[in-house]
Amino acid sequence: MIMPLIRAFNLTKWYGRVIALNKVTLDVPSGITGLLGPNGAGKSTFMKLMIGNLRPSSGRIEVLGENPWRNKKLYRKIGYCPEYDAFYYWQTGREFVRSLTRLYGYSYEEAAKLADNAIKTVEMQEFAERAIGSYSKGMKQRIKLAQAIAHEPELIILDEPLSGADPITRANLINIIRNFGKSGKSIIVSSHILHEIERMSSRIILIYEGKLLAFGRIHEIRNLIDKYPHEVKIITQDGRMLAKALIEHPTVINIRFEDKNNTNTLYIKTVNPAEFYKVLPKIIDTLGLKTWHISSTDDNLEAVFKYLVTG
Amino acid sequence: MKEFKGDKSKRSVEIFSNIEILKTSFRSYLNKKRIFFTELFLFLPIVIPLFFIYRELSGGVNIWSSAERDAVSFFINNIYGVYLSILLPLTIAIFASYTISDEFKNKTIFYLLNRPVSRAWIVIYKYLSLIPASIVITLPPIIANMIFYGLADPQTNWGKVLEWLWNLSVAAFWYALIIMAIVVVFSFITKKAIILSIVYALGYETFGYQVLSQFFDNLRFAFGSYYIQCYLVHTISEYTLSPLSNLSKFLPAWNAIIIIILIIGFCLTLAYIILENKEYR
Repeated sequence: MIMPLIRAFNLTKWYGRVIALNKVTLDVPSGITGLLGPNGAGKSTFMKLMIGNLRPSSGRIEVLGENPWRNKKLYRKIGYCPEYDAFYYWQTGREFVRSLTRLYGYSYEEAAKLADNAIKTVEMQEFAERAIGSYSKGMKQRIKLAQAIAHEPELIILDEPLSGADPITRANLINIIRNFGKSGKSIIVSSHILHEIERMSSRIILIYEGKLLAFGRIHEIRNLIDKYPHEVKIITQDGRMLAKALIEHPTVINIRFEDKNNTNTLYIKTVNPAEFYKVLPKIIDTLGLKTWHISSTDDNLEAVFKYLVTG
Repeated sequence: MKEFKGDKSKRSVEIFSNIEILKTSFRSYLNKKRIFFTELFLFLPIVIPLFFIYRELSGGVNIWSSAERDAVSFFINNIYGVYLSILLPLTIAIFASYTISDEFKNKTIFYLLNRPVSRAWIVIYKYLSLIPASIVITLPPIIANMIFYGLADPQTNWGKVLEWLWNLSVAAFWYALIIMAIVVVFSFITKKAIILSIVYALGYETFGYQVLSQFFDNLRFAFGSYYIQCYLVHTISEYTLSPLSNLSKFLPAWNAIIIIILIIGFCLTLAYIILENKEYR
């Protein structure tokens, strides 16, 4: 029998009187798995339980067949990339990765070699000698990723690795993560944006208000989610012109402007986001509009989850 | 992933690789601008005699000639008293709690908690990394103050000044070590360690010791500043005690140092137990 990567049984975590994770039971097999949920859903808590930073209030969790709480042996097999930016800003990218890799018990030379490999994997060679303080958000995300993979772990846990990155960096990071998966690594990656997860993984864990909503193949869950209108925020040069072109599209059901004075920020509701995202660039290109921002709104995902819970 | 097969080599490699914590923390602490501002605060005693000099120049009292003691012993018994009992504990407590709290606030410490590093090494190295920074903070003001006061008195015996300088620096160093060990415990317990540290340094070690030990004699053993005073009393003959105190109340210098080491050991063990069992979100 193949051992599951992560096994949770009635896993519950309380922070005082607030429940962060509520009786989660699941077996996650190897491969890339996306952990999806709005902000505050319990994704980070689940991940911190996986890496042994938190102890379950009740129930149990096993990672690679072992209890992760204070398990130093297991820490060697896991790489964790946190959501937050935590750096010594005076360090260079190379120093940062090397010093953290040394803590796995490697000599200076071994750690330097592993750090260089990881930096190469995340395509940061050009910036590795620069102080982290001068890095852009995308560079910081990539160097954080490098410290998680440098010691060649069996399981990589990535907490919102795409948050705050620009579209080009997002695309790069998604490619890097997919390549890890292809090389046989197991990855758990969290996000609050479905389309990001969809591009990295075919299997997702859906979590909301600490409860496990669904776990399985992404297309099954996606069909469920797509029943609910999806909202997209766009900031463009001429909002009225774009709205006029989009309203005729069959997937668009509603368009609103941010306010009367600002007609360049649009909120568009669509019933088929996949189709919408396919046609949107073509429409913008045909109209020749400068567009600065396209995003899926967070509140919208919250609404989707509420819809899934209430049915 | 690297597997360690030989246990002997594993331990030695780990000890050396863990030194990375010390190296990074130390460099990080010295990189903080606040260390220099903190140091400026400790140069404050130099400002005080300027007031007396001003009074002398404007026809007031000549403090050096009218006083029975020389300028350096005046420094030791008055200004240095202020320095060692108020300025130093306060400065070290603020510095140590700020730097370690920053590691929690900026979450850099969480990288260490996710690595196969013993929590004992994290506590030890975090503590050790504070020591060079504390020397950088305490030593220059001590030297500058002594030279300033020495120069103010033409009769100064510079050999004696050096001896005092050494003993005062040692006392300041031990005092800083106790305060840092206690502040490390506070920093691992709460994110608001800075408030707790100021209350401890000023309320407990400074005023608590001065007031409570006068009324409850045996309580003096509960204060770090008492052991520092033991050291000063026995190593600097010019150090004068308050009229209420007598020499027999003070432990021999080496006994005081052994107790200081035990206090530090106890605090670091406590910090280790806290770090080992506390969950960090």
